Amino acid sequence: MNQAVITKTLPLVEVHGVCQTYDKGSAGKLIVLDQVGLTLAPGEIVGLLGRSGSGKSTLLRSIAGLIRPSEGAITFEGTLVSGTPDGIAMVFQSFALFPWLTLLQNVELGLEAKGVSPAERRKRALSAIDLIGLDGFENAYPKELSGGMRQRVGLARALVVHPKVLLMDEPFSALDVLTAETLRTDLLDLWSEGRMPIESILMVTHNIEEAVLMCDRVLIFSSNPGRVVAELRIDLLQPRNRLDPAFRALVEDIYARMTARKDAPARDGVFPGTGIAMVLPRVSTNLLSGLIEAVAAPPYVGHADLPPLAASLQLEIDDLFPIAETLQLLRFAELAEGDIQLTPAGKRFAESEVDARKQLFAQQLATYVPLAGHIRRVLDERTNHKAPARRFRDELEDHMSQDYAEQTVRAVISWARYAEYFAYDEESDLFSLDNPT
Amino acid sequence: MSLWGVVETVFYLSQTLGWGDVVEAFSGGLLTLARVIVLIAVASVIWVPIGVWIGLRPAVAERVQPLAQFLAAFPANVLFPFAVIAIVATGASPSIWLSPLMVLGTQWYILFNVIAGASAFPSDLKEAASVFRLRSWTWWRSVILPGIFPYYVTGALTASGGSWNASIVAELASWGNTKLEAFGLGSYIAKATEAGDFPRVVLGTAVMSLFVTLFNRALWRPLYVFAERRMRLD
Repeated sequence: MNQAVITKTLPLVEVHGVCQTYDKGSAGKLIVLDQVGLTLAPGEIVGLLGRSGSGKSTLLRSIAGLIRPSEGAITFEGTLVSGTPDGIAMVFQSFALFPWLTLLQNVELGLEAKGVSPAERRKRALSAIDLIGLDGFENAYPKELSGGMRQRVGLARALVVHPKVLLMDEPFSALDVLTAETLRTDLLDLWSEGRMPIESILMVTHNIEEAVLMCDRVLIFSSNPGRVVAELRIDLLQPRNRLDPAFRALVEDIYARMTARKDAPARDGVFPGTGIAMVLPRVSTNLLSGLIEAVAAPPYVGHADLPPLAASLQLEIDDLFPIAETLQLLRFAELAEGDIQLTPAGKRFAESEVDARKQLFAQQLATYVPLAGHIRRVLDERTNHKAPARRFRDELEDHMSQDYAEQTVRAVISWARYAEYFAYDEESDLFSLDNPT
Repeated sequence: MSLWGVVETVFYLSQTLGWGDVVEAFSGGLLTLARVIVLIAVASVIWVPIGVWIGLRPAVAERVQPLAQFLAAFPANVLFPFAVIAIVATGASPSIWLSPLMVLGTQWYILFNVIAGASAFPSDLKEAASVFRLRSWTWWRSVILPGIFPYYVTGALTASGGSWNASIVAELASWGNTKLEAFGLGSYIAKATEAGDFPRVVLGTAVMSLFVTLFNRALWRPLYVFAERRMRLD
């Protein structure tokens, strides 16, 4: 009896001082995860919440044994993780079903790898399919199923191997709102009724409400580098009500923590890297001016609380934060404590006509986006006012990965085009100063 | 138009050639067909695993891919004399040992298509295979072979078409005064060309076109359709 109680409290997963760094070029390392620790005990659902680039998916993959952390240790039931341990299964954001296998074959696959006999395999797969509400579709191929049903298959495939720990990587974010909610509720029902053969769930999400709805504990990650900045216990009783004031207060609290200023001057720290080596998000100028207008307009008139703003714009944080942070980078707005406030420049932008907006945007771009200023200076210096984009991409690749360099250059191109700060020709891959008029 | 062309050709040939010639061309065709099938199968068994191994390692693939493409473009018949010398020296049967020359230049299509397929294999499926610890035969059968199948079909189709053409130079290979021959449609056409026997060149070419077309219809097209329908990753 006593023995049972003790084993119950032993953690399933322990993560100690895990760092994940990404070597790139002469500029040293990009730190994805910095000294992250967590424990996962039986009987709990834990959420890893953070913006994109906070390393939460990287951490999940390290626990799954898909990535070996650069530093630190991860154990599952006391044993160091190297390769996926027996007892851990995973559900993917993209479902990751094999399109050439039927639903039944997809579910049976993990059992086949475990060496379960064909008859037993079929029996267990059918019962998992039944549990997850997919009976009748056994012989369907994934592409015949809707997104929600595909994710149910992903869930059945994970449950059928009877894992102790279920890892879920943004399992509902590729689904429409309604389907996602149904699936969350079904999963919570199965969990609370104890009908799933699992002891613990660790899920990555960027959706604050989802985390508050499902988790017993939430770890909030900061970005660049990814660190655990806060840990919240959520003691609300299941089933939880999104409209409950206590629920709302928790959501609000998490928003505030996720936008809290660090002690260091936050502005250049918003995006990874400094100076021209800053990784920029691809945010269209339509979204930027759209958000400025939304915040400038009543009821916010220049100052908005993020949760209601996100709700009224029907955006999730992964959509809203890059826009807000780009505005912050351009000094059109300030972010703090879960609020967004327009700067004088932001207000002027909101009140201006198209041409004045472009001028203002160009000014902010020149002053606050080092890469844009750098490209412009090179163009100004050259007699023909042309420069290959390749050159800047190469320059960036000394500091960041190829994908990030590409994304950053794309971001600068779209902003500069809008501001008519400089032009870019896709065909020749050249920057130039000749704006077609 | 094309029907008229067929009628023209048949009429032209019937004036100079008899049924014996047709039988000879067709039996040569069957033999060459057998060679193509066996050789593509052997090349597949060799290059598919190697291509998968390379394709899943981006650093290696980056180096090997240009090499495979170079080898596919390299005129393989430059190397045929070496084979002739080796066959003569060892007294091996030309009917068998000239055959590999047919895929010497074309096997690379299989290799670089398989490499391309394995490189393009989606990372989420790779992760799923790894998380559910799919290994050895289960992994080959359920994960990677279906994953590269559309690419493999493209490569094997190109390789087999190329091998038919290569048979014309491979089944009749020479070095100096040494001449080796393997009976088949390729050597039939090669000999007719050498002799300036225009009707037999036309007959041989027509039979080869017929074999290639039927072979594509009977094997590659259905495989293509199947790959498109079942294996497509979207």
